[in-house]
Amino acid sequence: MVYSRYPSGIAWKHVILDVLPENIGRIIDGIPQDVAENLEEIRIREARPLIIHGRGKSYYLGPDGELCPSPEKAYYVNHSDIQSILQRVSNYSIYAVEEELRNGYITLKGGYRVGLAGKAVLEGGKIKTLKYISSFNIRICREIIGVADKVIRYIVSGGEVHHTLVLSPPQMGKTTLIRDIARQLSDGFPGFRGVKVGIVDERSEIAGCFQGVPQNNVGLQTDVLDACPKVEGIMMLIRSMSPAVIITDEIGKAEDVEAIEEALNAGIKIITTAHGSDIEEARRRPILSKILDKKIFQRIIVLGNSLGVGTVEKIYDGHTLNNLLDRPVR
Amino acid sequence: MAFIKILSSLMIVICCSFLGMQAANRYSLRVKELRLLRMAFAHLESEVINYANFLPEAVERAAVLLQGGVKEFFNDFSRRLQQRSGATAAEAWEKALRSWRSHLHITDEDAQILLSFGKVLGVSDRDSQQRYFQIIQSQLKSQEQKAEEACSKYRNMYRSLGVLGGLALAIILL
Repeated sequence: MVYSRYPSGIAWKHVILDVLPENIGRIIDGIPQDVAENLEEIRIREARPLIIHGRGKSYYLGPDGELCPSPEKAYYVNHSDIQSILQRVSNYSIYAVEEELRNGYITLKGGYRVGLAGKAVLEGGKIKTLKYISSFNIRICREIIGVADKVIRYIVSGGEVHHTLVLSPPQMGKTTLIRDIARQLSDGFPGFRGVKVGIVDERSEIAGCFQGVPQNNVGLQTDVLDACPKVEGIMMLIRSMSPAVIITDEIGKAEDVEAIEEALNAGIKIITTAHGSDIEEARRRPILSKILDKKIFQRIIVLGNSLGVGTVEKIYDGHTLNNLLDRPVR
Repeated sequence: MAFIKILSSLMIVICCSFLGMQAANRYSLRVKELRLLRMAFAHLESEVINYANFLPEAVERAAVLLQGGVKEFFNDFSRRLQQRSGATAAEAWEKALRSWRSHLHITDEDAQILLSFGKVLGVSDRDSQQRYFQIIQSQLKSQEQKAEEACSKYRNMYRSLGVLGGLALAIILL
């Protein structure tokens, strides 16, 4: 957890301003309070205006952090800004973040992620590293404690955790939801004693580990395999950490199915996510439809934004495919 | 009167010898500092290549084994990185080097080698960092050899020059 002198809504400033050069830091610090509190992304691209996103809107930023309606008056990012940011986000140590560059993002303290884009350097057909990095996407994730309250009683019934799949389009709060599910299953809640939870955090998004320590609250009994490929990670957890529940993000590859079946055979409950706006859409993807046909998952939660980002649109019973919700909740 | 003359001549000889010693010492101190720097880079190399430690901590650890001006220079560099006062590592390196240059006995040529190494420190992947470390160490090694040669050549010369010059001056003034 990051302690800072800023109020909780803009706790990100503590970490983010540290990786920005002085001039851009000043601009970001000057963003009006209400926008800063709901900031989601800071987009920094070489020779293009500084842009921020929040609450579904985007704004150009002027030289003093003022919001500009058009790009003409915005601050244009230059080459030395980009170089400085690259050095700062890597802690002046490109050699220490080679793996992160290959994956295209670096995780900062507090679990904030910086996405990078540039020119890929290939070796034997695989990405070796990135060079000429020219775009940064600083994502300000917010853990929302209690966001899983409305779904947790569908996931746990009679002291038993159900295999659960969360389906959602991008940026609808999938990861935020399973993070809080992890916390609640691990810590327990009235009527449910906590269980051991293992997280395979391939993209370092769920727990937001910094040097191995989760920066988000993922529960007292939770072990995190950070930046670990899903299939190997699930196997490792089964062998070594004896979890009751394994939580992982974004399944969709053929080998993911095998790993999940392996976990099922070991009597471990699986909670995972996939891209998709509904079951019908998910069925059109071969791997997902295979998983759905096998009726592995007992609960399928669909997220959307009919009542705003993070709305729980439907919760299906995985066997009967009946919707257990009367209407969407948020 | 004679007593004062003898005393002042003696002072002149002592002062000149001291100056000669100092000039001679510069040579041996340079050799010592270059050797320390080479050791520092060898240590930093292992911190960077083998342990992939972040540069600010790696430099701090490498500084532990050092002493004198070289240690202060490394500590200053690490401090600048930790405070993120420079836009880039190269800038922090250059500032640290400039502020400690006068406390070191290295030549402009040595300083130039250090300065250009600062430009590549930390900015590339492990393989190329390793190459840079090898280059700087072999450069420092050859500077060290030159310094040793210069040291054996000039150290005794400056020492004797100091004493003899002092004597000569005293005799002329007598």
